[in-house]
Amino acid sequence: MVYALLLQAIIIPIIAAPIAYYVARTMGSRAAAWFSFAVLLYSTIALLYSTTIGNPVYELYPWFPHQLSSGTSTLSTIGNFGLYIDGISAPFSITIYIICTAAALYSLPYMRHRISEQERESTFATIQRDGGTFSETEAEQERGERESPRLRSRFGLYFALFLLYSAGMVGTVLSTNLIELYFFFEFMLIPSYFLIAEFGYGSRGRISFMYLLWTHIGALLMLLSFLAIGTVGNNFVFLGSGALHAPSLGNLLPWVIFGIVVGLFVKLAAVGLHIWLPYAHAEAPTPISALLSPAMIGIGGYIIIRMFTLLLPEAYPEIGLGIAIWGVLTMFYGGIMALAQDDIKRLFAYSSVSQMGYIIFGIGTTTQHGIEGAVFQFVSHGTAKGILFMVAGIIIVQAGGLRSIKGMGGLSQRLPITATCAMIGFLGLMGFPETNGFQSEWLIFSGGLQQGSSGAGPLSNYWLLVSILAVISTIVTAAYSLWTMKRVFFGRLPESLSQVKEGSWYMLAPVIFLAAVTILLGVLPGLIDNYLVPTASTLTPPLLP
Amino acid sequence: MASCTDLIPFLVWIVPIGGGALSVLAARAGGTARNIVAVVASLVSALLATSLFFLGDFAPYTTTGRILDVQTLCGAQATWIAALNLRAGVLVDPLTVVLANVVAWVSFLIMVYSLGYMKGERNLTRYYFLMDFFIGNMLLLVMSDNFLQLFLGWEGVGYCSYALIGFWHTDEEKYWVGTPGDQSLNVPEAYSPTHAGMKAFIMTRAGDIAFLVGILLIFAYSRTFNFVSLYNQLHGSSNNWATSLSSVGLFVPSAILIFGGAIGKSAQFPLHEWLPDAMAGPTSVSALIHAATMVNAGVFLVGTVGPLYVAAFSTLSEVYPFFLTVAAIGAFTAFLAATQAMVSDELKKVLAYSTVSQIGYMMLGLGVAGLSVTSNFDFGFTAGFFHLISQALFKAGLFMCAGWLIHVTGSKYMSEMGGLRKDLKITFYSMLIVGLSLAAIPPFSGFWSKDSILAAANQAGGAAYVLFALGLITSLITAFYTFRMLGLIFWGPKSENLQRIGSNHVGSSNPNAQESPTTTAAAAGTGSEDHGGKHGLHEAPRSMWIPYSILAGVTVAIGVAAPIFLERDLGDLFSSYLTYWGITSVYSLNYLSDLLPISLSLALALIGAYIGYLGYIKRSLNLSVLVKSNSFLYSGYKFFYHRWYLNSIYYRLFAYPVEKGSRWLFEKFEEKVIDPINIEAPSFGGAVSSILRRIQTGIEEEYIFAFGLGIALLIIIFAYIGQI
Repeated sequence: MVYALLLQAIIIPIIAAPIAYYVARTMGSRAAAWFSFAVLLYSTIALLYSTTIGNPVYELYPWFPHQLSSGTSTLSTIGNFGLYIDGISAPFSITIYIICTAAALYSLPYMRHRISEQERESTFATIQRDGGTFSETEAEQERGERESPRLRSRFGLYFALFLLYSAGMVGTVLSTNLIELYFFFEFMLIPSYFLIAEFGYGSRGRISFMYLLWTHIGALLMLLSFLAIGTVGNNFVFLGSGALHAPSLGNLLPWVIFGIVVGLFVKLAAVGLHIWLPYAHAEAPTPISALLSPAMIGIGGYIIIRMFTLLLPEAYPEIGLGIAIWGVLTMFYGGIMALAQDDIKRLFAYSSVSQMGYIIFGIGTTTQHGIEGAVFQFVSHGTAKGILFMVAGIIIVQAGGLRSIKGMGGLSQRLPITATCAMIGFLGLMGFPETNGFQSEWLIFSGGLQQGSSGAGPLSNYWLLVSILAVISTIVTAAYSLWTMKRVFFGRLPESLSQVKEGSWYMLAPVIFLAAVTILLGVLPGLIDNYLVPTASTLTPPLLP
Repeated sequence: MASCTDLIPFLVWIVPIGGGALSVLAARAGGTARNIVAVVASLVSALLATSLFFLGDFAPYTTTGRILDVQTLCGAQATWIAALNLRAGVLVDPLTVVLANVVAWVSFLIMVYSLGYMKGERNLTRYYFLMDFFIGNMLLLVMSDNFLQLFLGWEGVGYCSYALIGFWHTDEEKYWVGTPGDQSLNVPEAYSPTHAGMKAFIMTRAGDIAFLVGILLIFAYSRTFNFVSLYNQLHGSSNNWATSLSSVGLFVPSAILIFGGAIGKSAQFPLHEWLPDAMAGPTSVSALIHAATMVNAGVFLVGTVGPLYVAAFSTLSEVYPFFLTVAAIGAFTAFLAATQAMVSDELKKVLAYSTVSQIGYMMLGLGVAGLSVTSNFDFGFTAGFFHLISQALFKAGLFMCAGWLIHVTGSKYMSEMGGLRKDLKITFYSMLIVGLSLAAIPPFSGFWSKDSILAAANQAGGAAYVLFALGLITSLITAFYTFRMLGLIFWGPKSENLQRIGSNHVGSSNPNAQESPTTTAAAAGTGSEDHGGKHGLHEAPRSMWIPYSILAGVTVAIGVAAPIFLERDLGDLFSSYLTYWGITSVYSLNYLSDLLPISLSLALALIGAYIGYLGYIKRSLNLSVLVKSNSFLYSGYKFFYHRWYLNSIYYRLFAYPVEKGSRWLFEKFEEKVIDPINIEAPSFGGAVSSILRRIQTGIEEEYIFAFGLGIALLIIIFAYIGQI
């Protein structure tokens, strides 16, 4: 427990949230952005450093150690508050913080654009009455000078919620206790709900409420399962010292698994439970889309991995096959929906649905490679989709709120850096070698084909078929990726876009950074694998090697 | 190897990739610095590749056929993904080093050619970066010692191909491939560069995923991607990856899946349709990627896994289906593409079809090698690769000549050229030589390499006789379309287009003004703005003609050396190389015993050439009138011209249904079925609440009455339960 690094990584952003509000009120939006950036950067470094100390790193804090009731009572204690980072949770948590850190800076110009747009919307009547124009306030915004107290408080609210949201996500991933996990799981929901409700597009009130309801219902299903596990196993700790192992749930087991799978598949937006996602991701302010999609939804995958290795005494090929089929359906459905979209953010949202299919499939394979691939896929999708949503945001800011792909074209002539980064992001999505997308996808497919070539009865043949379908779905990904690239960046430049310029470095630098990470991890996947594989190979139940 | 010479085989492919990145930085210092960095990187890489023949550490391997798997960097173990026990490595053996040299030197010549050809274009930083990146990835592909690393290079070259086909991403009509307005089965047959690039990427991707599944199936049992380890496992125990895969019935499927990758990359039937449209890219790109190097990667792949498969089983029957598939697809594709080359008017498309066709020959050679392993594996193997080398050289030459012709005439159509042999002497003689090589006329290199493939097919016997016959017919067609191409360009009267250029003294200053007839006419009407040059039909600048005349010279040199020593030496080298893969057949080309197939093929080629001569050089036979007057011939012409309708069928079968289907599914299912849940669930809640709300009347008396009623109900219930 050196320096309580993990605790710092979570607590500091939470403590900093009200401070960010204060900073924004007193010193303006730029200061608040840099402040949030610094806080998140510190937390990211804390997590990165902790991975160099050991694998795993485990911190334990007294939380609820006392017995609830004496005697023969079943439930003795909720347990302690632990934080645990190992080869599985490290890629998740670090990716989340890296994207959050990048998005903090990115938020500055984007939210200037968005908040002033909102102000115009709300004060439209006033301005019309006074005969004023919009451009004055906007020009002021561009320079970042003399923001009105109202604007500053809006920024304060944004960055405070942003920090809470980030900490909530990482807290979920580092939890060692089912109740703690649930706590953080809801903790990330609330700020994100407000972020969409306050700063979103379209009918943001309705959409954010829908988002809240869907994920909350999912979370409640999960909570029911957690309570069943905790009460039967007489323990809520699932990682670290004194952790539960394969509690004998008996007839409850299928129901518990049902609750967890369905509850978390809502978060993962598996096909059938995905409907909240395109709305929420498309209508959230873009930096938040860049957190929702790359960082948040994949956490569902993380919890499923943890719960399956906790609950199931041995490998779970039958359940696994069902999950894998669901995963493949999700891949295809999301991909095909993405092909039909015209709104660029909605397209990326559906693409996220499709990409979550790979994580689901990887978990379903119940092989080491599959699990490793699923974890790696979270990272790959995180960087790729982070890039792409940010690219969409750059276009929105620079082209005056343009989101319809029909209105785009030839933008690589005006936005060469953005176009290059978008290409890298798409290549990552497509699982192109030399980007991290390939390094995750080959592991996932290898897991599936390992099941498929084992020659163990009819199940093996189903696996073979499902795995090949999964690989084929990458063609759908390639199709919508390249087609989007063509429609947005290639071809003739419409007259209306002939004056579009590259965005500020606040927006470009985070995108370039994520693009660099995408390629770095594609060429040197060992940076993740060497940490991930030793953990995955010691998971219980022992998986196929 | 204590010293750092073990870095050299790595540097062969790292240098161009690094050079590409460096050229982007150098672009800050100006275009010249950038070009120099890019070209020098390619030259250094070629020199390094050649040094592998001479350096003491490698020469014993490359010249005797032994296999060296370099997995060290300055003596230290090279790791890649340590946790998964995957190492980076390069193979140094005759196959990889010979191919690396062909790739690196042809690339260098094309980079030099690019200096002239791409001069004055915009976005050249992107061009040179991608070209260097391509070269590096291609060399990585060739030299990798394991499947995963090979796959990296494999997809890397695929990406460069996509990006360079779509280099002119603004999609102006002058950059399109195909004739606007052409369509079959209501599918347009002219494509913009970005469309063609996308088509290439997605179509080869279909092959690539088969490839990936294939190697992962092998990996499932072998737990290694390394070729040498895979081979060693075969001899380590009788229960190895090959027998295990075979026992679950997946051995041949996995082999054919891997071949699927080769089909996609090398544009073989049924994934050949992307290559003709890839001609939308700059001609230097067509020469490098779509003629000389990348498209041969599939042949290389078959040549890499073929020996492994042969070594895997003591009996032929296990691997026979695989090699028969390779040979049959090769022979059929050779014929299919050759028929299309006969009727195309676009110069680059003729060359593209002919590339597909020639690669088909190579596949035929490698395929028949495995049909009778003990007798002539080495022969077919050598023939396939010899043809790869000679095709790479003469086809790159053809494309480079074509690039200049298209530039100077301002048209991509052969019918808008004609009579150019006096005006462009260097181009004419260079193209004549490489063209005769394509037509397989002795003594040029193409004759020796192609005919040894046919001889190998003849030696294999059995089912291969059919393929041999197909190969013979294709040689006739090949010679015909080559003479047609040469005749249309260099003989006969000058076309109206050329007369206009000659009289106006207007050449095109933009080498890439590949204009359709309509735009050419428009340009002529509006004067010479598009053709800003002052010269008429003039010879290419030195940076362009030197590369292609070098290739013409090499074609002659190989053609002369082949029968004397080259072909036999190459055969002996590959033969001893294959011995290390456990294949001990004896290289057995004998010009006397193989006289029959060779003379047959030569005779047919001469017949084809003679028809082409009459029709397009002497012009005593008007073939177009003949074809149009005969309905059978004309429908055949249309069938070939529309690519056997395969292209249109693919669009109708895959592209359109997916596009329309996705929209249908979105509008009819997602929006009509899934979405309403979101709307219905809250409105259901609203409906329930509006009913329940009615009892909240706010009238005290009613509440008291309800309260009393409730108490009464509870008493009744409790009484009822109490009774039980």
